[in-house]
Amino acid sequence: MLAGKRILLVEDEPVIAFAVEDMLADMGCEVVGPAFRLDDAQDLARAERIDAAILDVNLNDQRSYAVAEELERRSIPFLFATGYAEGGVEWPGSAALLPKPYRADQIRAALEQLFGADAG
Amino acid sequence: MPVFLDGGGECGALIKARDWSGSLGPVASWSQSLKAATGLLLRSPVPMVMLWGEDGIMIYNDAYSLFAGGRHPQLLGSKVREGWPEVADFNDHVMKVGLAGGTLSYKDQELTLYRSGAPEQVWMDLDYSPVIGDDGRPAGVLAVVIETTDRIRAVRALRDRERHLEALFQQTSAGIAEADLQGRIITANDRYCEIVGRAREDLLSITIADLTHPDDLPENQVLLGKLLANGESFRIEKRYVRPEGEAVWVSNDVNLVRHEDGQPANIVAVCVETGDRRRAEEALRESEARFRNMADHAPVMLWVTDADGRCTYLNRSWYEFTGQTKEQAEGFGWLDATHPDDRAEAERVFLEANRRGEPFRIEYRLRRHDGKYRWSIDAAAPRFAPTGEFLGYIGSVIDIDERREMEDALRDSEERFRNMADNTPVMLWVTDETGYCTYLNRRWYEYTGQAPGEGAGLGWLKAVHPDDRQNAERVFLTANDEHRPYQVDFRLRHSDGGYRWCADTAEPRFDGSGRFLGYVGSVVDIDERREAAEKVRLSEEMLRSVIEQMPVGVAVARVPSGEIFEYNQALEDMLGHPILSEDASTYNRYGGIDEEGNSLPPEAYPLGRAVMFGETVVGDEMRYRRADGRIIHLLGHASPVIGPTGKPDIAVVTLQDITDRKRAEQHQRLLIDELSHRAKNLLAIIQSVAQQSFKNGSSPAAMVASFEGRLGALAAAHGILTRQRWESAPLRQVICDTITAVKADDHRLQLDGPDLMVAPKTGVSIAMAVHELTTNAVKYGSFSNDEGTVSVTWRIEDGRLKLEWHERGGPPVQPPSKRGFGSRMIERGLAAELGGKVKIDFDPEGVVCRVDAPFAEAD
Repeated sequence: MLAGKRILLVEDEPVIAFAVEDMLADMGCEVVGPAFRLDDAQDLARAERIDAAILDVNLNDQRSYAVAEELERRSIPFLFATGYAEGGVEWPGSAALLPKPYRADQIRAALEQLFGADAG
Repeated sequence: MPVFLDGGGECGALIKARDWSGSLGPVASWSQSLKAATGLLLRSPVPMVMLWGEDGIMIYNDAYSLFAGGRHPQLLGSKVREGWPEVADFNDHVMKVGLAGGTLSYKDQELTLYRSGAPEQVWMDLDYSPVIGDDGRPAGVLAVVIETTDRIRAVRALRDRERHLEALFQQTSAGIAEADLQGRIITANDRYCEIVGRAREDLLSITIADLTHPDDLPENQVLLGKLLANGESFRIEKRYVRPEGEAVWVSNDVNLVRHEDGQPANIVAVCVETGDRRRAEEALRESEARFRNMADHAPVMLWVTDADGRCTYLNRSWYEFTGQTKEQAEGFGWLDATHPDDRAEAERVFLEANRRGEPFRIEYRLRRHDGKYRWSIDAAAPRFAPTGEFLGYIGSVIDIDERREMEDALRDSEERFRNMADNTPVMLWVTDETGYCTYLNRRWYEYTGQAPGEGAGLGWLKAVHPDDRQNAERVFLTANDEHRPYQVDFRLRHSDGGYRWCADTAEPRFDGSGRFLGYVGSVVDIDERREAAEKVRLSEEMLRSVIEQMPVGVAVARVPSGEIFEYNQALEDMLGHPILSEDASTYNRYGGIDEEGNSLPPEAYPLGRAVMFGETVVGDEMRYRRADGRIIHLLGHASPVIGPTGKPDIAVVTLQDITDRKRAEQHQRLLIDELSHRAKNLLAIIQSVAQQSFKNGSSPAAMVASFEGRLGALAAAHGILTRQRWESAPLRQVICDTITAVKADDHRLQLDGPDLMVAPKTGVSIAMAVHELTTNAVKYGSFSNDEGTVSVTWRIEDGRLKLEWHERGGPPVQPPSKRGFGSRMIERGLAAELGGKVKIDFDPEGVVCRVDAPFAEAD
C-alpha cells in the first residue's frame, strides 16, 4: 500500500531525519527531502510531486504550519510529528498527530490511515 | 557874612560856624552855584541834602537832620560814602549818575540804616537831580529825602489784619454770610457754604430767603423787616434747605453793618448748625410721649405729681380701675377714690413724704368703678432734676386683693407641679429668667446626694464634674441669653461617689404674652448608653487599624447596597486608583477584565458575589487592569458577614496581588514543557542513532561499540551544554572532548582556531560529525597507526566559518565502497544544520573534511 509513495519528510534534527528516512525506505516509500529547514520544506511542498508528508511541528523555533497550508492547498495529506504534549499543535484545521520519538510501526499505521482515509 | 545862611535854621547856623578849610574851603569862597543851592535847601521844609563835588560833601537842612538821627550833626560836611557807610554802594551809584547829569528817583526804597547804632529797616522816597556848577557842568547832586517807613508799616499792618480777619472769617466754626439790604449774598465763608451745601459762587446769585425753609420764611422775613427798620438784631432757629432737599437746623444771629454815617450798609448772618440740639429736644419730647404711651398701657396704675404734691398725671389703668375722670382725679382729687376710713391717713403719709422728698408706701382701700373697695398698695419714688431739685413723685398702685387671689391660684398649681415632679423618675429642674435655679425635684437630690436646696441658683453646678462644669455653665448661660432650647452632656456626681454621664435637656418657658420666664429641664443618666457607644467606637477603631495594617487589600461593603465604606491603603496601592464609594451596580467601573480584556460585570467580582448572592468566595482569580494600564492577577476571597439581625449586613473582600506568583508558575510550566521536549527529542536522537548503529551487519560487539561511542559523543556534547546552561557551546571544547572521548593520546591531535561559541544544537551536530570522523580515523585513518596525526583548524572569514579536518601520516586511504551513517551525518546533517557546505575527500594521503558555512556567534 505504501510502496512507491513519495513522502515529504520535514525534520530539523538530522540524526532523526536519517533514521526516519531509513524507516520510510524500508517501507518502500520514496523520501522527498528530508528538509531540515522551513524555507527548504516550503520549496519542496510547492514544487515536488508528493503523496503525503510528515512535518515536524517545531523547526528550530519556527513552526511548520506554512508548509501545512501549502499542502492543504494542494490537497496533500500530512502528519504533524511533535514531541510536545497534546495541545502543543496550534493548527486550526484537523490534522493527524505522530508522536515523537518516531517508531516505524506508528509511522506505517499513521500513513496507512492517511491513505485509507484519503481513498475512502 | 554870607547872607545865604541867614534864616537857614539850625543847620544854617552850623554851616556858618563850621570850619570848611579841609573840604569846601571858607564859606565866603564858595562858588555862586553852591551858595545858591545851599540857600535854597536850608529854607526848604522838605528834607533835603546836597552832595557836593566828587566826594559828595553833605550839606543838608533841618528836616534832613531829623532823618539823620544820631549821626547829626557830625554828618554835616562829611563825605557821603563815609557818612553812610552801610549804603556806600548805593550813594556811589547816585554820585556817578548825578555828576554825569542824570536824575534818579526811588519810591519806597528799602534801606537798612544804623542811625542810632542799631540796624533799622527804613523805606524812603528818594529823588536825585544834578546841581549845575558855575562852569555849567554838574557840580553836585541834590537829594529830596522823604522817609515813608511809617506809612509802609501802617499799610503792612493793615494787610496783616485783613489777612487775620480773613482767616478768622474762614476758619471760624460758625457760618458767616454778608448780604446786601435786599438779602443778596455778597460773601460767605467756607463753613457757611458747607452748612447750606452750596459752592460760594452759587451763593452769589441768590438771597438768604432762597436758602430758608418755606415754613421758617414768614418768621424770618418779619424779623428781617424789624432789623432794617429799627436796627433790631435778632436770633432765629430756622432751617436752611440744601440743594438735594435736606433741611439743616441752624441758629442764626443777624446784625446790621453800618456805614460811618450810621446808614445801614449790609446784613451779616452768623449761623451755627443745631441739628443735634433740635434732635435732642425732639427726642426728649418723643421720650415723654413714649413714657405716657407706655404708662397708659402698663397693667398697673401709675401716677406723677409735681413738687407741690399736685397730681399732674394718672395713667389709663387708674381711670379704668376707679372710673374717675381726669378732672376728678388730678390735683388731689385722687384722694376721693380712697375709702373714707383710709383717706386721712393716706393724705397724711403722702403730704409728709412729699415735704421731705422721701419714698413712701401706703396701703389703702381703693374704690373700684363698680363701687367695691379693693386693698391696694400705693408705692412711690421721688423724682429729682439733674441739679438735685425735687420734682415730685412717680408712683404705682397695685390691687393686692387681685394679686393675693392670683398667688393662691399659682401656689396651688405649683404644688401640683412639685408633687408630680418630685415623683417622676427623671431629674427635673426649673430656672427663672435670670438663670437662677428655683426648683430641683426630689430625684435630683436623691441622685446627686446634694442637700435639699443646695442646687438652687447655680449650686447645681457643684454636682457637675469639674472638667465639664465650665462647658455646662457656658451652654446654659448662652442659651438663657438667647431663650432657646438646648442640650448638654456632662458627668454628674452620683450619690455613690462616682460620676456618671447625664444628658441635660431644657426648653424655655414663656408666659401668655411671650415673656421669657426661664427654663424647665430634665436630666437623664446616659452613662450606660455612652459606655456602650464608646465600646463600639473602640472596637471599630481597632478593626479599622487591623484592616489598615493587613498586608492584603481589604474592602468592606454594606449589604445589600454594596457601598464600600471601609478599605485599606494596601488596596488602593494594589489597584493603583482611589476606591469608589458606590453601590454594587457600578462595580463594573473597577478594572477587572476577562481573558479578552473586556470589563467584568459587577457579579463577576468576589465582593459583588458576596453582596448580591450572599456567596462565600474562596480563592477566586481575576485579571485586573490598574489605572496605570498594568495588568495584574488578583486572588480574591469574599464573604458576607452576619449582623445582629441574623442577616448579612456587610460583606468583606480581601485581594492579593499574585502577579509574581502567576508569572513564576508560567515560567515553570514553560521550563517543564521545554525539558519534556528536549528529553523526547534526545530519545528520538538516541533511537535514531541506535537504529543506524544496529542495521549494517557488523558483528554484534562492533555494533554495540559503535552505538556506545555515538552515545558517548552525544553525552559529552550534552555535558558541555548543561555546564553552559544550554545557552551556547565553546567550539574548541566540543571538538576536543569529542575526539579525546574516542582517542585519548592527544599529542597527535592539533587544534587551531579562535575561541568561538556556537548554538547548542549546532554544538551537538558538530560533536556527532566529529565523532564519526574520529571513529573513522581510528578504524581506517591516521589514528589507526602510531604515526598519523589529525589537525582541526578553523577561522572566521567574511562572516563564514571555515573549518578543516585534516588527517596525515596514516595508511593510504581508500574511498569507502558505500556511504554509511557517518558520511550522511557529516555531509548532509551537518551541512543542513550549518546551512552551508560540508565535503569529505578521501584523499589517499589522508581524509580531509571541509566545512564552509555562514556563522553568527552564539551569545
